[in-house]
Amino acid sequence: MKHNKAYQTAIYVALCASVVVSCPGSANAQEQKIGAPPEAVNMRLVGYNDLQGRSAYQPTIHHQGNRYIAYIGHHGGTPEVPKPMNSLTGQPEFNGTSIVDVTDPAHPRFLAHIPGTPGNYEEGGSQMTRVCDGKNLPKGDPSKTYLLRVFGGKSHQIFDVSDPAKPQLVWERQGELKDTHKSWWECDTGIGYLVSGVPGWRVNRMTEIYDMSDPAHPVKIRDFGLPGQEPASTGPVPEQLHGMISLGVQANRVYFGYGTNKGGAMQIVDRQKLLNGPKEPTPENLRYPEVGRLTMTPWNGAHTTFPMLKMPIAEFAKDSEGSQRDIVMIVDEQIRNECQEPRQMAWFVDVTIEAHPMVISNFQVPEASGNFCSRGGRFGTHASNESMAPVFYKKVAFLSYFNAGVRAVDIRDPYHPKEVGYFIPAITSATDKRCVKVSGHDQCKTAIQTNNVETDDRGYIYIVDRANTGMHILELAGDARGIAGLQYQD
Amino acid sequence: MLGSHRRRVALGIIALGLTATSIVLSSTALLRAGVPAVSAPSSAGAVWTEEPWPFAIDQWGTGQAFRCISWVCGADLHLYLRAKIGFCRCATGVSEDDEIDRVGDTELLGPNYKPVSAGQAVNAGILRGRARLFRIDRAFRSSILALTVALANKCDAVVAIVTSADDISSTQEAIALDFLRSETVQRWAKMNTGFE
Repeated sequence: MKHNKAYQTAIYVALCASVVVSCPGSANAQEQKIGAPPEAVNMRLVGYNDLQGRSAYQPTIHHQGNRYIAYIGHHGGTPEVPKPMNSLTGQPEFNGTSIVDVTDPAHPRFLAHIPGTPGNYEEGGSQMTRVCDGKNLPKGDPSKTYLLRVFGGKSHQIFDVSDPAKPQLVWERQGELKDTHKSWWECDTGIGYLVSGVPGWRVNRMTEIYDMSDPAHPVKIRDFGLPGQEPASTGPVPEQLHGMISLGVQANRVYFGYGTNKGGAMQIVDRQKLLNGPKEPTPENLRYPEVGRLTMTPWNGAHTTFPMLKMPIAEFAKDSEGSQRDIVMIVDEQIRNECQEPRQMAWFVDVTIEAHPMVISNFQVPEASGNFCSRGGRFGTHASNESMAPVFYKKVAFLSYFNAGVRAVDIRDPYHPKEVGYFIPAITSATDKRCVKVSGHDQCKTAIQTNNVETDDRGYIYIVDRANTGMHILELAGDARGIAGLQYQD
Repeated sequence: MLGSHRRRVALGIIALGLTATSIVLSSTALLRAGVPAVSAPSSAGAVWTEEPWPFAIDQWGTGQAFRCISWVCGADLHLYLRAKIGFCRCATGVSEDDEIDRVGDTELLGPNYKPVSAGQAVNAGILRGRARLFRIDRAFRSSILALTVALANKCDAVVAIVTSADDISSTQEAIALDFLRSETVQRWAKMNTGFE
């Protein structure tokens, strides 16, 4: 009898063990397969370019003369392929900036690749791009178009890309920085807010502000950061900068995002005070231009801070005050693979009363809708489109969501954002693996890692993949087109 | 008398039960963290035992806390250890004192702290970085010294703070650094850090 009991217990333990083992197996059924179709609702693939198999960070789409040109910043290569082949030159090149003619979105043409710095993944490449026309810059050559990019973590560069197939270097910041990242360039004033790591500052990423109205001769204005980040300060160091978005002279506001996935803060800054106030980096001078600040939960960071001022809120239309609200959409960045950290998402913040910003809603993709924590790679938000072209601005936001692809979100009522479409590209043989450590060993899976998204004024959506799958050009389909005022298509 | 004896026996059984429960709970926590309860003695003969993480949860979660009692370490040493995944500069790690300030955990002990001296390079097995001594001013209490260690494995940081109610001598600094070099910590670091 005792023997029977022990036998039953052994069977029970074995069954339990088999359940534990089978759970990951069933989740693995959700992994993407080469050759499987993309997953999509209300979004459709229009065109594709493989970007030479390079890991992509940020696309900028520029209406350049009568053409549309995509400038795509890349991360560094992989240990297996540190220098992918540039098929235009036949030469292996460290990942840098790809330039693609997307005038015909169904047939994008790869025009050029500007090499970046050596190093794999985050160590190398040239992640960020911004583009301005000389005719808009106060001291630019009206016949030229200029590309601002980071040169790895070391420096910033400006290229003449008037002929996008033949980019020419016109300026490079002298002196090596600790790091760089997602900068902003006001095309109508030329003011450049550069994410830099100036030696001496206590963080690797802070703000250098330049007058770049003459792209060949930028002039430094000042350094900026949160009090406690400046040289020679002591005590805790506030989380470092990720990036910023300026609304320029009219709105007189710049929105800074600090932290990426942790210790986040969104800072609202008076642009005039920032540019013309006292410049010595003392705590008092750094505090002077700040208008408001939202300290987020330490489990989330501010990757993108996308402002949308004076949004009419239908529900508040009859209210004597507050029927329009100033909104900032904060997008966090998921860093770790397979949900090994707190979930990152998009937050909508009411900043109408700037001194007291408040989160009013969030958007997130349900994990169970795709078993995304088990698919491989990162699952969570990374960034939003940053174009303010009327077609989508304040109506539909697009969020890059790593293994959940791109998500189209109806934001006309920012108190209740709702998903209206999504597109998860298929993986290819170029898609790179993503690993987690299990008992000290790498366990790897292959999944799409939609990293960034941008839109153009025609209504096309461009998504790029961090895991080397390339660039997909999309459009809204079905009912979702109506939100943007686009003609209905089946 | 017999009743009293039974009571003592009952109390003894309860005490044993509580001890066993605490051992099980402690082991469970350690298994989760991947760190055994008692480390191998360092070259200085120190024995580190795990104790509860005393700090409020923050964005980096909780870590592991260890204690080396005064009769083996010369002072009652506390060492607080945790990983900060993706918090290091991948290319350069912790190569300068500013990075100790940015990455380290000194602020767990209080917001008002200043370095006592320049930092120094530290190697601990697969980990490379720097260590620096800080003095932390505390309200209504005397200030305290802490050795802040910030190490890197690829893009990930492993940080430790070492404190004592008394001042920390260079011998005790060495004992703490030896613990970070021990098989116990190295195995934990290999399992929990070094992601691309």
